[in-house]
Amino acid sequence: MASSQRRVFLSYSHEDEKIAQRLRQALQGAGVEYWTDQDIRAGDRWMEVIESALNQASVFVLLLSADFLASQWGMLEMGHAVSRAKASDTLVIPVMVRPTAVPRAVERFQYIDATSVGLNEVALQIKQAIDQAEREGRLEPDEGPDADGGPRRLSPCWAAKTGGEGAQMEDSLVEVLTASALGAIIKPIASPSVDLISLRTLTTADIPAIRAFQAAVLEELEIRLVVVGGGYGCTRITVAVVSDSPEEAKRLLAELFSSEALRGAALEANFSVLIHQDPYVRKDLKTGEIEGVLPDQGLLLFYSYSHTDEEHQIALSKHLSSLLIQGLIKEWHDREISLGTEWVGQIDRNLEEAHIILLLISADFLSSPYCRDVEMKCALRRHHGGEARVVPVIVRDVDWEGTPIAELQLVPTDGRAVTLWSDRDAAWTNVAKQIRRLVRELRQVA
Amino acid sequence: MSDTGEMTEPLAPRLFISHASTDAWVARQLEMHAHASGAETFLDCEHIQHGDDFEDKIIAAADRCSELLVLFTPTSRDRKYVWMEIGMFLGAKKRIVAALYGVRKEEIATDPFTPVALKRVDSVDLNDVHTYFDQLKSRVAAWRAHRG
Repeated sequence: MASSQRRVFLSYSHEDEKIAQRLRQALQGAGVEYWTDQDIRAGDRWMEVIESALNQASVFVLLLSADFLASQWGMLEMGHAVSRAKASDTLVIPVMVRPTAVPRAVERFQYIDATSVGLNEVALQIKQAIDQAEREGRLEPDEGPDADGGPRRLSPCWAAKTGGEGAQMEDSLVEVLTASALGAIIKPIASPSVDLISLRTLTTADIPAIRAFQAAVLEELEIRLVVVGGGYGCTRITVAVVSDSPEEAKRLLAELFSSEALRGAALEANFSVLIHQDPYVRKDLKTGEIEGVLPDQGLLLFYSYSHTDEEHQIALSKHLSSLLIQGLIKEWHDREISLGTEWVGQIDRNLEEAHIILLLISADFLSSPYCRDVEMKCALRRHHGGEARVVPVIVRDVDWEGTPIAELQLVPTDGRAVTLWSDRDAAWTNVAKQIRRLVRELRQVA
Repeated sequence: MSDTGEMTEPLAPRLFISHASTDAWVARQLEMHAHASGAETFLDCEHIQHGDDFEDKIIAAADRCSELLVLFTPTSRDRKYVWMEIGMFLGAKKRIVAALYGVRKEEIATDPFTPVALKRVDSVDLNDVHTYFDQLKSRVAAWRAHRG
């Protein structure tokens, strides 16, 4: 059994959120299925989801730091993990993300020191630990499908196995899966048509409403509803509706969006239907073919930015995550460089291979010799040579006139810096939409 | 509870009393009531000696105890070990009851930072805690009857 099927619970302090975010990406890259409590703690119903995740997890990754050990939630989750570890089918992996004393409660578990190795290496070590525990029989296999092929609890793996027979997916359960599961679910479904809806800014707190709606409407209509997201607290969830024909899928989707159940669930304001805008789905509806819709490799997106603007890079990355989920892009930024590796070479290689290069423009960027004279210069050379497309993203107000980027199409619209917008999300959405258009254009050319 | 989570021989009713050190006197009163109900107890200020490893003792005691009584006060709700103990009993799917002192049920219900697990667990005002001990006494009697 591959560790990608494991339900990994990532427990961390909010002070370590950036590290957790990077580790999530690394885990995803390593093929490990993870759940986190990201953003959950603001609302009650989210806590129910945490509990459910705690109960279902078979691997607990605890990101240790002084803040984690001082937090009520951290201690509760650690206590839960320690208690569960007495069972043979549970693994606890402490990861020290900032120097602190290892608490006695988890001292008996081998910990990973993330203060001395890169997070990609940490993710690999976690994967190896899970694989080893499985080989040694310390982790019981997850349940698989019934021998008679009857429906069982949906997991990414089983979705892949049963995908050719969409009807065998769990009918009554809305399942939160990682982005990587989307491909596993959609790809093998050869015959039924698949329509996608993106539910933007849908929160996990809305899941009970979706469940209620599913029970009331979808089961009767025999719609299979799969919620795919970036783990708990994901702000973007994609729903795949599987039906027998494109027309039927469209009709069902229309019904879904006009349903009183959803309107009553305060979801309406958050919906954005992409089915007729997304080339991924449009292609599917025209041809009826699913194969090839999700490319094995998306366009490579390179972020060039000053480290002072790291928060803006992370925000933009989040706003582009639907492109990532759909497999339309893959990202590279310099945080992916593992400690101890030769970083200049990695930057150069990815910069030379990128299809789209995002320059996050600010005074710090334009005053950085490396950003300005190395990365921007290389980016513009490739742009003018037709090898890549450069998109300057004005993140903070700066006088960019007279610089080489003045000749390019700037985002957000009219080059108005993101930080000048009264609604920061609106600014990033403006940027994300223009990048989506560019991605679509490049894919059509390809 | 066995390692596989299946019910086996029920644990003897043994109460783990979780509290803040500043609430030790009240916790001792609870312990006395528990003893009067026939249950054994674990109270950290009573059972952890100087020089003992605090966390080791707690982990071992949580394993042995069948249920948790949390003395939930304005002080204890900020005490990290209380939360670890709640987590341990949650993970083991053992009974958890909160005795509230200086904290109202409504406060817990609406506080966004209180885990829903604690909102869902039975809670009883300290002034009415005898109802809990009455039930504990019944559980002790049932266990003794089961053991013959």
